[in-house]
This record gives sequence, structure tokens and C-alpha cells, in this order.
Amino acid sequence: MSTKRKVIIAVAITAVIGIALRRFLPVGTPLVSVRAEELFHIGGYTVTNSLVLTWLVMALLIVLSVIGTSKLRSGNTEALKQPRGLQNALEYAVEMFYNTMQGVSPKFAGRFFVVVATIFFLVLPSNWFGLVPGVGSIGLCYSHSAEHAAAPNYVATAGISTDIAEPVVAAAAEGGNYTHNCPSGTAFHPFLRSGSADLNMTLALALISFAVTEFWGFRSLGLGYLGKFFNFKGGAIQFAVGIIELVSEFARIVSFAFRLFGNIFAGEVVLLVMAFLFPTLLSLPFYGLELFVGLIQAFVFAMLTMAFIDMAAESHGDHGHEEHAH
Amino acid sequence: MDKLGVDLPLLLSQIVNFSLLAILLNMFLYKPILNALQARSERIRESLDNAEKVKQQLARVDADYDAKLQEARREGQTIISQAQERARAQEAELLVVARNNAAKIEEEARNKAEQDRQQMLRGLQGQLASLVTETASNVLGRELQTKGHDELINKSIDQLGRLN
Repeated sequence: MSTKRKVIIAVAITAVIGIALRRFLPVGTPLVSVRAEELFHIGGYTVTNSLVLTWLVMALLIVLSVIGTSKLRSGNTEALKQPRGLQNALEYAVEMFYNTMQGVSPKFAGRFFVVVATIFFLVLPSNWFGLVPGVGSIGLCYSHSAEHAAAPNYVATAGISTDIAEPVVAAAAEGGNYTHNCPSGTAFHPFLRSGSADLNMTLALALISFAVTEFWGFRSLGLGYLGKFFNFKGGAIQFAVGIIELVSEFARIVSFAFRLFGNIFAGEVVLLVMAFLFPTLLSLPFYGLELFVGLIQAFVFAMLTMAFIDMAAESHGDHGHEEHAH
Repeated sequence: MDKLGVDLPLLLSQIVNFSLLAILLNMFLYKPILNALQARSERIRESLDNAEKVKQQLARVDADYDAKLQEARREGQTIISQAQERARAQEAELLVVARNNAAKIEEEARNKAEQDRQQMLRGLQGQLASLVTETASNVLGRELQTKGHDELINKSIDQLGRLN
């Protein structure tokens, strides 16, 4: 049997399964929440599902690093001579990213590698974990009224189960905002949510990126760095340009935060909607697309941070001479 | 902001998360690997330098060997040619000596032969004189007296000597 025929048969079978699922196991209304859902409280401290996944990603990264570099850190010369397995993979990732950053900013890549690399290595798995089946679809129904209650209202462990179709349809018809096979008055909270699909994380990263950039600007140019934004010497036009620069500097925070959030969150919504429209096959191409988007967004975030750091350190045209004269 | 889910404690906790992750990854991932990469590239450069050095040394040794070989060959050649020259000179010398010796021996032999001949001739003259006298006395018989014929005898001896 040729490969082509195999593919056609597989697609046909999957389509049939999809039709069957659509017919006999109706799916609930897709649940879309811009906010990360709360899971529980620890002494007044709210823990959301995106925070939990971020912790998981962090734990994974740290465990992998500790295992992968254990031989290197113990000074094993054999591991230095011939990297193998996990160590080799980690070396490959770090080296490739380091070389890329060096292409962006040859002068400061080494100094700020910790920041940009951590952004990349945190954002990439966060993006991709959102695509893992079960993330965003396995959870519990929490009572709406007791929004800050520690104990969730275990009305139905809905999860991905689709066997209780009637209440869902009813709830949707009632105009409930967040219905995911949950009875009215309760909302479905998935256990896990991609960190990048939560504004708290993307905004935190954007603020860190902004802070590092401004720190480096002041560090390398002194107070003259402000001359970039408050330019009184070049006439009205230069002054206006300086103000625009200032605005764009702060607008970066917003663009950083919303670019990542928007891409990843939108991707998850697209996957959700596609799965809702047709259970199988339809979301497959979008999975490939989202994998790509996840990689690109992580890379863009890190690379832009590196580029802004590089730009902050260079004095602006004619001001440069004055700054050096001071 | 609240509608978007931005919440100060959560924001701060994410910043703390990031800082913690940055510190830990720096400790366990970036530093060991970047150090290792640097150490490895240094080691590679060192090895290449060493290889270059060894190659140069080898070339030098090779050149030395060649030079020595050539020198030895040249020396050997000179020794052989010197020996040949000396042998030729010796040969010539020996030839001269031998020729001289031979000439000397020849001359001695000739002298000796001459002396022998003279001696023999002298002996022969004596004998011939007596033989002639005897024969003549035999032929001329008893009539001839020895006395009074000395003049004739001497004449015949002289003739003999002139014949020789």
C-alpha cells in the first residue's frame, strides 16, 4: 500500500470518528476567559492556573539543567571532551541561542545573556505547554458566587467529558458567560493554562525587559541618557522627536506584553474553536501553526529585548559628543 | 486592568519567578555550558597549535636528517676520492721504483754477464793458447822444438785475440 493511500485512509477514518463524536458526544460551548482562572488560595495569596504551569515549567527547566550539566559542573573532563545525551542537547540550545544573540548585539550579548536567555527558555516551553492536550481542558467547576472562597464548588468534574450534553446546552441557552458543561452559577476553571496566555506573566516579562533596558541606558550613558528624550538643544522638531521617543519607550512595555499574550491566547482560542467546530482533523494544521508561533514569539521577545538593550547603550547622534565631553 | 486579569500580587510573583529562574538557570545552565564551550574551544585551539608545532618540529628533524645524510654522502665521496688519488699516486711511485729496480737489476745482470764473458774469454785465451800449442806440437810432431817457436805462438795468440 502506498504512503499516499495510507494517508488518505487515515484521514477518512479520522473524519468518520470526528463525525461520530460530533453526532453522539456533543461538545460544550467553548470557554474563553482572558483572565487566568483562580485555583486556590494560600493565606490570602491567590494561585492561578497559569502560575501553576509557570512553576511546572520552571521546575522542569531547573531539573533538566541540574541533570544535564551535573557532569560539567563536577569537572568531568570526559564530559567536556565528548558531550552526550541531555548535556549535548542543552549545549546545543544554549550555544545556538548565544550565537544568535551575539549576532544581534556583539557587545552586550555576554553581559545580558542571563536575562534574554531566561526570557527565551521560559517563554518557549510556556507557549508550547499551552498546546499539550489537557492543558486548558481539564479542570473543575468553581462556584461563581464564592469567588474568593477557598473551597471550590465541586458540582461536576466536567473536564473534557462530554457526556452531559444537556446541561451545557441549557446553560448556554441561559446566556451564561462561562459555561463549560458546568451548571449555571459555576464556572469552569482548568487546572493548567499557558503562562504566556496570562497577562500577568507577559507584563512581568515586559517590565523586566524595560527595566533592564533603562538600567543599561543610564549605566552606559549616565544622565545623558535622558537627553535622548528631553532634547532642548535641537529646536522644536528635535524636542518633539525626543518626546515621541519617550512615549515609544513606554509603549514598548505594552507592545511586549500584548504581543506575546495576544499571539498565544489567540492561538489557544483558535484551537478551541476549531475543536468545537469539528472534533478531529480541523485543528491539526493550526497545531502546526501554533507550534511555529510559539517559537517565533519566544524568539522575538528575547531578540527585541537584546536589540533594545543594544540601542539604549548607543548615544544618539550629535548628543554623543556632548556626553563624552561631560 | 482588572478585566484583563492583571493583578499586582500575581504580577509580582511572576517577576519573582523570573528572577529566581534566571538565578538558578545561570547557576545550573548558562554558566557551566558557556564555560565548557569556552574551555573546549580553548582546548581545540591548543591542540591545533600543538599539532602545528609538532609538524614543524618533524619538518625540521626531516630537514636535519636530509642535511646530515647529504653531508655524510659528501664526506664518503671525498674519502673515497682521496683514497683513490692516494692509491694512484702510490701506484705511480711504486711503478717508478719498480722500474728503477728493474733497470738496476738489468744493468747489474748485464755487467755481470759482461764480466763473466770477459773472464771466460780470458780463461779461454789461456786455454786456447795451450790448446793451440799442444795441437800444433801434435801436428808438427816431434821435430818442432818448443824453443825457438815462442815468436810464432805469440803471433797466433794475437791473431786469436784479434778474431775475438
